[in-house]
Amino acid sequence: MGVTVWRWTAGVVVGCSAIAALLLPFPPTVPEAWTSRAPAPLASELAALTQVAGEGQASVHAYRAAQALDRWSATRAGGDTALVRFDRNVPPTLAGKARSLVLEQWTALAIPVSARNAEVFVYVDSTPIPTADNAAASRRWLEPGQLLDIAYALPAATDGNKCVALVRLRGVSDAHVDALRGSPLPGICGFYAAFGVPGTAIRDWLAASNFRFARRSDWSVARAPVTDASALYGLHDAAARCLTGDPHACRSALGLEAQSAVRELRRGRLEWVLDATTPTTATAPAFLGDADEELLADAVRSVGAERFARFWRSPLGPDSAFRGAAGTAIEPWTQRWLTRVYGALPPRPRARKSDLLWLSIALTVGLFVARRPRERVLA
Amino acid sequence: MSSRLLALIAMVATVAPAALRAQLPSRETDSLLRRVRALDSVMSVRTRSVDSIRRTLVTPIPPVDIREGPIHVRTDASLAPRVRSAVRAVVEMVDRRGGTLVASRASAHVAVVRRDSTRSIVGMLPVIAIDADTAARWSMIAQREVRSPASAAAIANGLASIVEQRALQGVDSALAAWIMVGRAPVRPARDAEAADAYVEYATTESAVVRRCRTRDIAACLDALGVDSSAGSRLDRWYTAEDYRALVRTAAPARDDSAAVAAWIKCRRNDEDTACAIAARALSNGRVPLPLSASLRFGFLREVLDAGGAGAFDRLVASSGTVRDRLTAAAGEPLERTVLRWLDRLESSRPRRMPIPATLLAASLGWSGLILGMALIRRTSWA
Repeated sequence: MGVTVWRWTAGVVVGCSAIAALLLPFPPTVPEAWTSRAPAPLASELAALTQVAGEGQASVHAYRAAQALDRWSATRAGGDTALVRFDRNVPPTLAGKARSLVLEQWTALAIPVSARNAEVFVYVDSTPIPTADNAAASRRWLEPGQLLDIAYALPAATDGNKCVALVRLRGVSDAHVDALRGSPLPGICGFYAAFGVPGTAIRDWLAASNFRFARRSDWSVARAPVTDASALYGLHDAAARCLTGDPHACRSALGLEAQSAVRELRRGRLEWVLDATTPTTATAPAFLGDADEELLADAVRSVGAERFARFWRSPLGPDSAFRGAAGTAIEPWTQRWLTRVYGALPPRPRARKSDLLWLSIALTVGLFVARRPRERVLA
Repeated sequence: MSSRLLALIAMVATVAPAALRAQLPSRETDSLLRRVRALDSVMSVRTRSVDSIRRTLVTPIPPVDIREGPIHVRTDASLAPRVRSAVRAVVEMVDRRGGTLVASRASAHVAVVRRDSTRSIVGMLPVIAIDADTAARWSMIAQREVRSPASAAAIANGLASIVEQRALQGVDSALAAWIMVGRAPVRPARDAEAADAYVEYATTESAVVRRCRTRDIAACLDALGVDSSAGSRLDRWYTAEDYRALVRTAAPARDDSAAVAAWIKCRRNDEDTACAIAARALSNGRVPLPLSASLRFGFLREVLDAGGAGAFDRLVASSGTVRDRLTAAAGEPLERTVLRWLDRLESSRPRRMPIPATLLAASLGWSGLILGMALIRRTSWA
């Protein structure tokens, strides 16, 4: 009995059916422990707890910001204009050490900076916020333990003119001073110190992304080339499409398409205080990936301080301002920035000449064999 | 006089509010603090509510109670024979390497072994789930799953791994940091583990490991993180010839652009100069350990085997450096333990290119099938 296509197919079907009969039915699903999915009442209660915890955290930040601004206002009444200012409660020895550390960081910006639009304000406050329930019975805390906290009060939160880095030291030990050394103090205020107050349209554009693009002012530090080849796969949709050269996607990733009702979003002055430790993803999506905080610092290095200052202070929208100052559109510049930070796109798969050659040889041989007259194989 | 008084009052009235404002919290700050406290109270209530709902969510505990020595397990009737034999095996392991401390920690919990299922590519697969505690949801130790039908040995392996983790809970941070893996070696080493350890020991590109292979005890102890000789990690553990391999596993800090460029060049072009720049740029803390945590774990097993009953108790209870504690646990000079560990490592050399029986059977089966089909194909398919 010879093997025909039909017999072969029937054999395969019978074999597969036998395997299926052995495996099926699949074992019933035993209800899993709720660690993977909480039951409805617990899920809703957890959601409510998460929401109130988030609100609680925001209110703690606001409270600390208000306290810091009160202290800053009181100290400011005293007078001088300097890049670093200390609260009255900072011991003189600590103030001396801290002053040199802060000035070191201002100098590291490598661009002449002015105290007219920015300063660092240092104060000491080790008071905890007591929790509502008995401390002995509860292990909850309202603020994570750390040596210092940094917040950036933008001009709308201060005197309309000045960005103030509010540095709260939680103690006066050497460890607290060392923590100052390791923290990037100027942050967004570095832009105000170097380039002044941004144009209204630029400010609104930055506000729409919660100032993500200007959080770091370390333009004097050279960036290492991309080391993680898989980094670009972590980009969100718009940023990834921008990397491929789609200008509309670049505009979308930069947030140039939807700057809606920014003023309505930030009503109180405390909403113009940015917390340095708040995870940026908690406040806004990562528009240009995890490195988008470096965007404008890299722009300073790329286009030069003078041109960047024109862009920063321009009354025009960010795209027109960038084109006017840098002489290039912001979309291709952003695409080049993404390539530099996350790596270039891998080349698209395409047939090589050698592949085509071998394929055509195989095809010719196949056709030749097919055209040969068939001979019956006899037993 | 009265004009002076008036002037003084006017001055005080002008200056005092500003000074007072500086000392007293503003109305806004007060109201924010009230809001913080209000939200904190709400959070406190919500937390209690979540806890109370969690307490109501209890799944039934299996009916069969198996208790032997320090091990206490609840399971289903169908699994009971295998679980009983698994518990016996675990008790033997605890008696051999664990000691009273491990026993007391293990006896404080009731493990649960029951049937469950898990997702796979083709739907759900039956498994046997081993929970560390009846309050499994709160356990710090993750659930173990063994493919069903599981042998008693497989269940014992899962149970023993839980005991190993339990043993190290509450151990001081210095010892836990040295052990690295978060468990104590209660189970004997498997053949595959021993073979992997040999391969790592024989092939690691590190000067200190090469010295260890020549039976330099001090080098072995340095590589194992027991004793540190003077100098930086890079100089102690690696020489220029090892930099290429070293740079494959460690990268310099991202801020150091020159070092990162050298690192890329080293990886792409294998340039010795670039490898040296990249390696030298690694901070002391970023220089990788020459021997992995699994070799260190194997050495600890050797120490406990040398110390016999109560070795783990002595290890945990003793004080001093890691070396002092290991010596106390082993009950002999550590040099002797290192030599025995080296002997064991070198005798674990795996056989070259072993052909598994299943692979052999599959190859012969497929060859026979294809040959057979070729022989019976007498007619064309047309």
